[in-house]
Amino acid sequence: MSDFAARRKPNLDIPWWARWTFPSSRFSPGLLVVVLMGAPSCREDIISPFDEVHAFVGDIGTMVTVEWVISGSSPQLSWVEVTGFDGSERTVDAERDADGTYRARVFQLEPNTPYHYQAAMFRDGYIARSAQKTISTNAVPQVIPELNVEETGSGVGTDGLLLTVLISNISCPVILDANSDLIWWYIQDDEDLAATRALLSSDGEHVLFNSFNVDAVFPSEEGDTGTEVGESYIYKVSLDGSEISVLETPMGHHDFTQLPDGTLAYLTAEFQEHEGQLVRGDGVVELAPDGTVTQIWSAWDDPELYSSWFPSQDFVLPMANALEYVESEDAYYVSLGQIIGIGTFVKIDRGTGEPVWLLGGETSDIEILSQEREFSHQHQFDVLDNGILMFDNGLEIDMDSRAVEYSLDQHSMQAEQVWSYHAEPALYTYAGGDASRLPEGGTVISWGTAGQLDELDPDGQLVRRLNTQLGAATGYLQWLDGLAAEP
Amino acid sequence: MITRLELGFVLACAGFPACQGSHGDCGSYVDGESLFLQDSNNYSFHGGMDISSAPVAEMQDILVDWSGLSVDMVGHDLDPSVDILTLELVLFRYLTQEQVEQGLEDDDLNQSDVALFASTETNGSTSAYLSELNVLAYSFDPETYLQQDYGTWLLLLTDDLDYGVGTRMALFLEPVVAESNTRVEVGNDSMVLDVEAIITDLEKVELPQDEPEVTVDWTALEYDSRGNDLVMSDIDQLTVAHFANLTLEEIQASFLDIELLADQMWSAGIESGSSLRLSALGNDSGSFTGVDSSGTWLLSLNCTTCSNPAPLFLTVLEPCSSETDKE
Repeated sequence: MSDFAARRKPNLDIPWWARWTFPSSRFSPGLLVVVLMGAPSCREDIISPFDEVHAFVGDIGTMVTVEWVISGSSPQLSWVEVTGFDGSERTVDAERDADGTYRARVFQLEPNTPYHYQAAMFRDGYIARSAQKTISTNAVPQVIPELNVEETGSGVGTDGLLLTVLISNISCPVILDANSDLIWWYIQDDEDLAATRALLSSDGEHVLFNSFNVDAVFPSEEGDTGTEVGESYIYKVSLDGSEISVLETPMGHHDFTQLPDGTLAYLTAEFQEHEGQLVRGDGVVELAPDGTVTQIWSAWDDPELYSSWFPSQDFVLPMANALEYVESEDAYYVSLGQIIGIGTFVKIDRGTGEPVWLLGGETSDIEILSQEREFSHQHQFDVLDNGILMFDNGLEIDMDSRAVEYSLDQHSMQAEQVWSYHAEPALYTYAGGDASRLPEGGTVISWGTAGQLDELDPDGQLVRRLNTQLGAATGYLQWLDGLAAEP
Repeated sequence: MITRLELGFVLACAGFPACQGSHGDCGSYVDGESLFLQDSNNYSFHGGMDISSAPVAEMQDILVDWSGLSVDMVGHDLDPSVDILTLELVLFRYLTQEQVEQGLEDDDLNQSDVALFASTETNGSTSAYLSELNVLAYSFDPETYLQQDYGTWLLLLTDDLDYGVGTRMALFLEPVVAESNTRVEVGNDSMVLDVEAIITDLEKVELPQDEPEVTVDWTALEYDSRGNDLVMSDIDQLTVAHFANLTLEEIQASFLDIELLADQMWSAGIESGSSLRLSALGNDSGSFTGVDSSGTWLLSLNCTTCSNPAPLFLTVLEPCSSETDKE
């Protein structure tokens, strides 16, 4: 298990050796250093200043809160040490309440697993620890779709966390660790709403996820207005599950992103009458932290773009299905993934709201020099330094989806396929899908409605595969180094 | 760690009935402890699934007609215009019909086995063309996709608007190049379950009479009723059923009607974990108040989302009392 808390440097002016100890042992490396260097030695468990040490499992079943009271003068630092039965160790600093209670929240524990814990403190040059106690985390709720792990190669993926959504008749944003254990989940049980995207908030303390009424943005038949219901929200759930807030994002669908300043940007469906029937176009809308709503772009404002699509589809213009914000370019990239035909990406200047270029399709501004096939009905993507990695659903008739990477030169306006990955045997994803590059060069792929998650190493070799049980799809992905919300 | 105070309490209580609860030990049940279910308590279930296959013309629109359907796959009556709410078509690209049947029986199909899913609400109709089905917002085009070599096509008629839930009847469609048939009927024998359930040979579970404050724990179970490894997370419901006038043999003989034959049933959803206090069970009349000596009592652990509706665990509850044991 990753131990992000332990990696952090002490935030008080305390010698690191005085804090770095193994809780299950009375003899610590810190103690060894102290003795050898003649510094003040650690005095452990001689007099216990700890009272009322207890722990409870929070709203998120893999998060444990430990509370205690310390008698006597306040310590310079107090923390909790958590030890798994497998020897894994965690150290989390505590915060002190006004009433004198110390509290530490421990995230990223494994579900349905017992842990030892003990409070510790540093005062007057000495470390003391409470007696060791045990608590078990909760099991994963049965309602969350089961994930079957297929071990390939090492069977363990890159050290990090994967945030996605498991979508069945309900939607469950989940975080998986490198062992494919669910270490965070939330159950959105409103069956009228579907979630496709979850993100860690820019402050690192919340999980954001969308929930929208699919019927509102997918008219079920030609001629449906699709406008009578526009329920769409972005949920904001604190990592400990104790705070939940909901933002309305009318007619929002498929995807959203968050800018560094906390502004949310999301895709919207916009219906306009065309030749006697309502036709859906899409747009990008921003919701600022102060509540200001700004329409950044509407496909309806770009007749050149849309004229090339009519009447290729009956009632939905090229469907926006994925959104990314690229800070270095202050631009949005939008995937327009037409279900029957060739797909397109549009880059939108955030300041002007104007399209900068189109990639793909008959109206492409960027010349694609070589590729094994044109991408079509593509979904989520990853803008790389000089390229773009995308999930290409492909045409239904071919039933062969893939992850594909193009080099992208925005000066010469040329692109070229440089890599692709197909499942063996071929797998078809008729909706959803995502491909994202990992920090060390690997790739993680969500196969959307095919309910499969693949992790590839930098050489493109499969190192981890997860499959959902029948009836559950996987949403868009976000790779996380860790959760930084522990105090 | 046991403190001296706790240790003293344990020693003081050892062997002294005064320290025990209101009803005391009962049979193998020890008061105050969880009632642990064992594999030897479980019934055995063997269910064969036989889904008919209808040859149809390849790459043609097909009319599906279920107006003649009057019973579902377990023999329960239904009204085709009222009870069938959704028509679904699933493409299993790499599985044969036999593999799909086996996967449904064993409940071990993955979503990645499904290449395409199309559906439509019936809105009271008893027939529909495949072209009326939708893949998300888009019409399914049988003239393009209904090909012989695409895989195995399974039609489902369900009583639920949620996808993949509430299947009442099923039929394989088999596109054949040389076939001209463009109409299929889904009837009472399109799918047949051949079920053998044995509940007379299991070890009964003794449970104190009139005592709902008993925690049932199934942590120790290793296998389900089909002999497969038990997936704990599949269990999402616990049910106790009472049959006032039926013997075990009579219940066994009509196993598929077990829910209809029960005089009372109390259930609770299992959100997580592998134990439940029986007082959490309930029905429209109220909470479960415990078993008594009348009739037959069954306890089941169910998976309501599995493709195979048979309980993963089912046992017979044997009411007991501490007074009876002393006699």
